[in-house]
Amino acid sequence: MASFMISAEPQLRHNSFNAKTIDAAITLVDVTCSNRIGFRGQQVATFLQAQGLDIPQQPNRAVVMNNGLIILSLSQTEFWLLDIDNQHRQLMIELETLADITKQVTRLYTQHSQAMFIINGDDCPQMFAKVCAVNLHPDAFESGVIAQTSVARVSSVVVNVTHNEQPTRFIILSDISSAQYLWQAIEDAAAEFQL
Amino acid sequence: MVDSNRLAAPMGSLIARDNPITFEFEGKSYTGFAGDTVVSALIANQQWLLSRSFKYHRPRGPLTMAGQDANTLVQLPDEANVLADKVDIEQAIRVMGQNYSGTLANDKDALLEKVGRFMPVGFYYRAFYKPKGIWDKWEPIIRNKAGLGQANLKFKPEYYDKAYLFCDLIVVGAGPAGLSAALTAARQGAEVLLVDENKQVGGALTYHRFDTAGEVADNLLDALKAQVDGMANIRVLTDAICNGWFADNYLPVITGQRMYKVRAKQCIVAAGEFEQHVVFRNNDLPGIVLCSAAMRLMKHYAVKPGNRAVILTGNDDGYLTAIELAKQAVNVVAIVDMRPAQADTQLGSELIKTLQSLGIEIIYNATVYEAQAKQNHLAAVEIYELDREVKISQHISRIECDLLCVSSGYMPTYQLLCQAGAQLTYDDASARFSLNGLPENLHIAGSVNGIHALDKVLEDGANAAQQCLVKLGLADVVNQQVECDIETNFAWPIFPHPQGKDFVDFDEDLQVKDIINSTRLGYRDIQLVKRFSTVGMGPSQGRHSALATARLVAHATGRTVSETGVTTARPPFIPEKLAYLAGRIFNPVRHTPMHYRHQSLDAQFMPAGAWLRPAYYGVPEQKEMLIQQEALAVRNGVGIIDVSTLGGIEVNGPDAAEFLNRIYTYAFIKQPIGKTRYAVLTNEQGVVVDDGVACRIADEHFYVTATTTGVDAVYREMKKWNAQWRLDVDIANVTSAFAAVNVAGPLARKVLEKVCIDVDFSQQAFPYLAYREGHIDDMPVRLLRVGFVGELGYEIHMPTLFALNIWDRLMQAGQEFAMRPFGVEAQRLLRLEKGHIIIGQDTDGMSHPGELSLTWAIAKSKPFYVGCRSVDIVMRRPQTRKLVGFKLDKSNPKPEEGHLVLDKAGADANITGNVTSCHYSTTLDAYIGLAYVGIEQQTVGSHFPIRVDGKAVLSEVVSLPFYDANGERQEVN
Repeated sequence: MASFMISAEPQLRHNSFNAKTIDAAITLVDVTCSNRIGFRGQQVATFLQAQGLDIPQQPNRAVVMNNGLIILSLSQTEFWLLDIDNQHRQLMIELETLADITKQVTRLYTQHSQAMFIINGDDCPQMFAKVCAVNLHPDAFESGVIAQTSVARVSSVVVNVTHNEQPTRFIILSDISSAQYLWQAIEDAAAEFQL
Repeated sequence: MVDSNRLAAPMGSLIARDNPITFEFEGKSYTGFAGDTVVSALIANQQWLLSRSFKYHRPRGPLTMAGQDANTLVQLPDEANVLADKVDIEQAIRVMGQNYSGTLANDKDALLEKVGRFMPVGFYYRAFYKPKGIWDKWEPIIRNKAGLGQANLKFKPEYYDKAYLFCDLIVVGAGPAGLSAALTAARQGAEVLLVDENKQVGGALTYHRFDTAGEVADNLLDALKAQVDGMANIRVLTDAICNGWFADNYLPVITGQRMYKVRAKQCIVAAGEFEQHVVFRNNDLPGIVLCSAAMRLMKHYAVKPGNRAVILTGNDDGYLTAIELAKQAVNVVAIVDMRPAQADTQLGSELIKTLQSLGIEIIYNATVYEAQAKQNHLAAVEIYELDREVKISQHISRIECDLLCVSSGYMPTYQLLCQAGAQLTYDDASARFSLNGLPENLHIAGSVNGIHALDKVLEDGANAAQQCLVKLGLADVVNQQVECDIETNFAWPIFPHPQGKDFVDFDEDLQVKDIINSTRLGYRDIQLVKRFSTVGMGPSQGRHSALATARLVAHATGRTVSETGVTTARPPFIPEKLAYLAGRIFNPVRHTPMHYRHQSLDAQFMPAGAWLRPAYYGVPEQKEMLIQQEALAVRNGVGIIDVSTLGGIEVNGPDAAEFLNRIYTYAFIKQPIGKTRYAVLTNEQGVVVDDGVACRIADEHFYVTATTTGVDAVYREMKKWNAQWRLDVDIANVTSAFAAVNVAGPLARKVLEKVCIDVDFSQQAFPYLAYREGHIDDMPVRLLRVGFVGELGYEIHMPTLFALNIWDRLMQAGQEFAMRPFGVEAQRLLRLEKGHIIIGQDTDGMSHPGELSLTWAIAKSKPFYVGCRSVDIVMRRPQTRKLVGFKLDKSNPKPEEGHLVLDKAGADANITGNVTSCHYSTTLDAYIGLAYVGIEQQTVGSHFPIRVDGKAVLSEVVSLPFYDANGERQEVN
């Protein structure tokens, strides 16, 4: 009765909304069907470290591991793991299984509750200024910083994952039921930068 | 006719002489240059008459050339009330005047001026209400005359949007003080946003003459502009207006079709001042302008404002205007200085010498007492001497002229600052208002701060920036305050004329006597004077009337101007299009994973909170039939409904059962694993606020459903309560993580058995109210045996990303059984037949479990649940109403939700309740519904009246449910 593996069968995932990749000055890519998982509880930090994972040292920070796994710390007791290239499915299944038998660690349904978009381009901060009240300019929002905020009036987690001298790169995670709406809102906001 | 009135370069900083543009005004073609406003282009073509005044329909021309007066309001094809001195001719190819009958030049309504004495101040409030009913006669006449311009109802809305802007410092006003402030701050590393409402930076430097040679301003402006251009951390927004001040420097800045919502750590307002006019008879004639307006016409647009000019001034700026006019070949006949002769100019003898060399006569201690018109334009002024008390004494001369430039002083641009809480204080010696009491992180600089000498203005701007830098942690030292002793304001530039038309407020045609009479009628407070007389309520919002009104009211009521004050300045600073507020508003919409499948099945959607849900499938013209067909499909075969919007909450942890036991009314401690229980939530007042089903998945793991629109509140309540209880549970709102469908009907089991092969769906293995888990095509699903619609039914809850595949699989499996998708409307009918309530529809803010017959869902033996004490109290009180089922023959008019239940038929009936749900049921061939009735009306078999469209319809109370009373439909094999 307790075995309800949320991370199973990635090939059957379907994002259910129209999200045609935009490839211009600001690129917008839907990665909703990529692997991700969340954990919450008093022992989560210890639990993840015990699995050899580098976790951020403070909340609202993200760590991009050498193997591409991104670990977000949303609070002292809540962490999300993003596997955008679907390279770490086995790890996630193992973590899910272990969490089921670990006290003070609750697995979250991040895989299915959140849509996930990647937004690239140096105009990202200006574009986000049209949909978000938080200053996401690099001076105020460095790489590795997370903003838990409202984007186009939808609760969202925005992560700056810009790598070195590469163009600005944000990941946005938001309620999946509003994904179509949010995609269109960002598409509309990005339009003026695509000329 | 382009060049007839144009001045040679360098005059005309805003126009492109190589780009002529043709436009129409009042149906006549004119030509101007790119960069011209409608007004500058018209004046270049000798067309001064722009509009008719609001009340008396007097001819009006521009006053400020800065968009600060209502005289230039014109009609564009798609927009009314456009300021013609702000809009470029490129955006205004066809322009018409407003507020006239006949033609602009010959307005028939100008006759109203003849009967002006019958329209004294406040006559609107004192007429038209007696005798009773007379307003109905007056209203159409007044409405026909009221209002300016016409809205184009066929106008296609344009794209407007909003964006945030973040900076360390915003400088409002890019004049010399603003430029100096911005540069000082930027040099120390601050991110600066420099905002100016004009098309170019520089403020007064772009038009004002600061020295007799006329060189200082241009040289300084070039230098400052070059420095600003070289600073990467200064962002300049021109043609942008800061339209309000809100707490913590939250500032709306409007430019183009966007509203920037600026978040600034520090704010400097260097917005300058409004030049003030002089009050005398006919001071509103076309051809009478502020000195700054004449300067703008020349310097910005290369327009020669007149041929024969008189200057009426109370300061040295009028002298400088005279020099500029003379240099541009305008015959300046005289300077009429309201000050006494002994008051030497503050710019010194050089200024006087220059005027003498230009042959300009100065008449001291005098004023224009009356202006006279010819063909709707200024033709002459009558000059009178002033006595020691600044009152009119004797006639000096009559001067023929076509231009009168006036300046009685300045009023600080106080609006943003007063919105922020600053106080205006009037100094009798300098006859001007100053601002103090600024909130933290808001500063002022330049002329708005009473500093007028150019070098001091620059210093003041730098000082304000320095204060900001200290606050930002970018500097340590605050410089000394700047002092300036230049006097700009003449104390009493008001010269009432016995024949009136001495206008204080041009917008509302208010004369001196109107303000005085308001005080005599008892409206002594400046706020009451405003509301009674409408002074300051027009489009220019008192920019040129506030100071004169304050002086008049102070004088009339025997108080100081400081005591009198000015009226409250509220945002917006300039009229703000609704498009700025309405454009690109975010209204989140939530879709279920199957949204586009529903769309392809012709679903008609209805909102449920932010969600869109299929109401029914098919064309709206057949709505009622389709709903009945969908309901019958469930009763007779099998149907499927998307219930993904249903709230979902997971409770995990050792105290999960205890937690639910405290939250909901029923008992959950001993709930077996694999079973579901109905869960009712009451609030602390004992009111039923939500319901759902609690599934026990494991000993320490529950999955609870909640209503679509209630789940967020339920989740919030749970978190709030556990913050107090500190039980060892994790509470997660998983609404979006799980999609769900309900497959219901006698054939439901057969559909499920085809797709979910690892679950035993037999009656024995999977009984009513059981919970199971299984897989559909390897995708995990949760299965709840429910009965909301009164048939054998299974709710299938599945991870959202799998939902579309599972829906497709179910639809495919259901084809064999003619499974039909049904919408919310059919579901509501089906549940009503079963007598199930919907929280929010059949309940209100007072519904307690007793009224709803939900006492069975309360575990009376447990010590506590949220709201238990209140439930006990309200249940012990005498009951006043009850939710009952009713039935009505279909030959009667159909009761609707909200229709009133009465205690008896007849005119003296009292209301005892209301209908909450009512549908026609094909299954029962009658109208059925739920309604609150008086407690004495609940007996089964009795009848009660419902007021339907004004008539009482007798309905019969019946026992619930209407359908399948023994629940046999659930047990079908």
